[in-house]
Amino acid sequence: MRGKVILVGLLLVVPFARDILAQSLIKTKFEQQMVDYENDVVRCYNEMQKFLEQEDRNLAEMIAFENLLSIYVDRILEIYSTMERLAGSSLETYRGVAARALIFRSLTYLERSKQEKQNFEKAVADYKYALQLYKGTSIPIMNKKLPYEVWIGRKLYTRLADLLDDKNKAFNLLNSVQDINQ
Amino acid sequence: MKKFGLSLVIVYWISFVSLGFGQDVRTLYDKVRKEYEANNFATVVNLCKQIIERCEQNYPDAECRYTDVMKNVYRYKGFSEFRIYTQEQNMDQLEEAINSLIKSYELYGDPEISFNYGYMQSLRAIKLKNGRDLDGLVNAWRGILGIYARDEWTVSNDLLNKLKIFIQQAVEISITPPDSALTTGRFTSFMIRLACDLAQKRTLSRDDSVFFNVYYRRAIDDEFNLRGNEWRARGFEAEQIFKANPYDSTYRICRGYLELALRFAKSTQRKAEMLKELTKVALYMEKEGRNSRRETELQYAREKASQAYTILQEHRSDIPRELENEIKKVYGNAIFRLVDYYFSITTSKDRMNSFLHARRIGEELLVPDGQGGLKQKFQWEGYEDLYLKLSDVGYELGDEKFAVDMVDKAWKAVLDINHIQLPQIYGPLPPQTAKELLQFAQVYQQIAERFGLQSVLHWLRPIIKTLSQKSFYTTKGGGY
Repeated sequence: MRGKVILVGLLLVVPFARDILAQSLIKTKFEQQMVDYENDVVRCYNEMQKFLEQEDRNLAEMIAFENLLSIYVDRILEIYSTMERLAGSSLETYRGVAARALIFRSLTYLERSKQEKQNFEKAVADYKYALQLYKGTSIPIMNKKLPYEVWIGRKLYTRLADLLDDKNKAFNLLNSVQDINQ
Repeated sequence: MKKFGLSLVIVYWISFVSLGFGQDVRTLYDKVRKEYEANNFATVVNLCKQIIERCEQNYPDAECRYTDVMKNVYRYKGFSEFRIYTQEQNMDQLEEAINSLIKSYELYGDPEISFNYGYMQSLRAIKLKNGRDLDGLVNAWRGILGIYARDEWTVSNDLLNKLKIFIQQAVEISITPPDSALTTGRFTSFMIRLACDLAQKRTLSRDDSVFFNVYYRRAIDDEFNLRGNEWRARGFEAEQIFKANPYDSTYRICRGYLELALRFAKSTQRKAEMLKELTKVALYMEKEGRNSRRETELQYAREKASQAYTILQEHRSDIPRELENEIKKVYGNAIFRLVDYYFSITTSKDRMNSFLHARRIGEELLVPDGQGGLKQKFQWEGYEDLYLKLSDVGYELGDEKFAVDMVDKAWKAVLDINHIQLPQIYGPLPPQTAKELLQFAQVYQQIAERFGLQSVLHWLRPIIKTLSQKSFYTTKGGGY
């Protein structure tokens, strides 16, 4: 009798357990991909910085780097929205990845903001979205230690705030965000 | 007349119907699929245009609202236009194909389509020699990432093939157009590294592993200078072909590639290497080439070798020892062969001029030795032969000081190379060495005789006698 009860119990539990396990595997896979894509974003950003220091004839390549980085950020945001639907908006890890990627794209857009005004608007939009994603967390995204190293030339950055300060772009971005809010 | 007019209308109407005018979108779409499978690409394009026209009308058919239908209409149209382009090589067709596929991608976002129109955009950039157009690479990469995600982040065989195509196009764009630098090659180099990294995420066959490793290396060498690296690789490949078939055409191609590699070299080491390689091919052409212009090739070799040597002097710490030795060897060789050339072309009319010319060429490698004579700037494999040749030049010019100085240096050099002290000549000596030394001693004797250097002759006589005996035994029995 007891055996039958256990068997029936197992038959009821196994399908749910299998679904939960599958969902958990998918989440792990998504998280892994987000991290991989973020690494590619940083790699792409680092590469572009080297290039900015060295070369003059760079417009076509600058735009190409910008577009490439954008592809990766779009993919991250795509996975992030899927994750949000799957698990709600409480996942700080995923929000962190998405927010950082957006800030890197924002910085990339700023490189050509003087030549192309639309780029500045895009940069502001990304920056604003990144701040929104990380709203209400204990440490602001800008001051949080980065999970990887960002090398620009011979200088190492471990926080996004330092990167923004050093590039002297934070002021512009913050101002524009304030303008938008007003 | 009326009958003729009526039949004309009927014929026109039949052709109108047969081409699909007046049919609904569903029927036309079914026809498109059938015609595409039958490889009737012109008909496919025509039918797709009709569907698009019908869908632009005020009251379009229901199918026009179905994304699945319309993305396929543009897809069939784009691929058919591309097939027509491959047959006719008409750039307008390629442009149409790209636009159709972009439209299809906008409707659905199929990564395969993104890869395909990216490929076509890169193809257009290559054909139009516009290396600045990098959109194709970006769009193809978007497609590759999409396919990778669609296949649950695994690299399928199909994706691997696409990565290979992508890499080859990236390389081609980085060297488009061949004679100018529209981009730095940094972006293409980065893309190739990304592509190779993605390919490495699966287990690769031996050939594939070699393919991706080679391209990865080419991308990172010489400060990520893909443009320069690619010309270098093509240059070396062309050099092999040239050596197997030393004709003017193969020589020109090889030299052209190597010159481009030199032009786009970023590091001093690469510049020196390319100059050395250019010297080598010019020397080879002079020696083995069919109908080569000897003097031109030798002068070219001398010029390139001299430039390589200047780089070596200015950036010695950047140049590895092996390359340094090779540069010295080719420079020495170029000078030796040019001296030999002017020495051997003398005619009775301008004998002295040719000898003087040969001497001036040789002096390029000579510096004061601090004892009133001259010595070569550096030692290279075969430097004793240059001394010997210059002593011949001095002999012919009647310049006693120069001739004696050179032959004395040649004699000391040949002893030094063979690691022989003078007294050892009278002891056991390898036969080949004896033969080589004898040649030098005889020239020394000739010069001493011409300028009446009795003490030298007195000193040389026993040496020549011994060396003759030792080399004579060589030819007779091989013992010594």
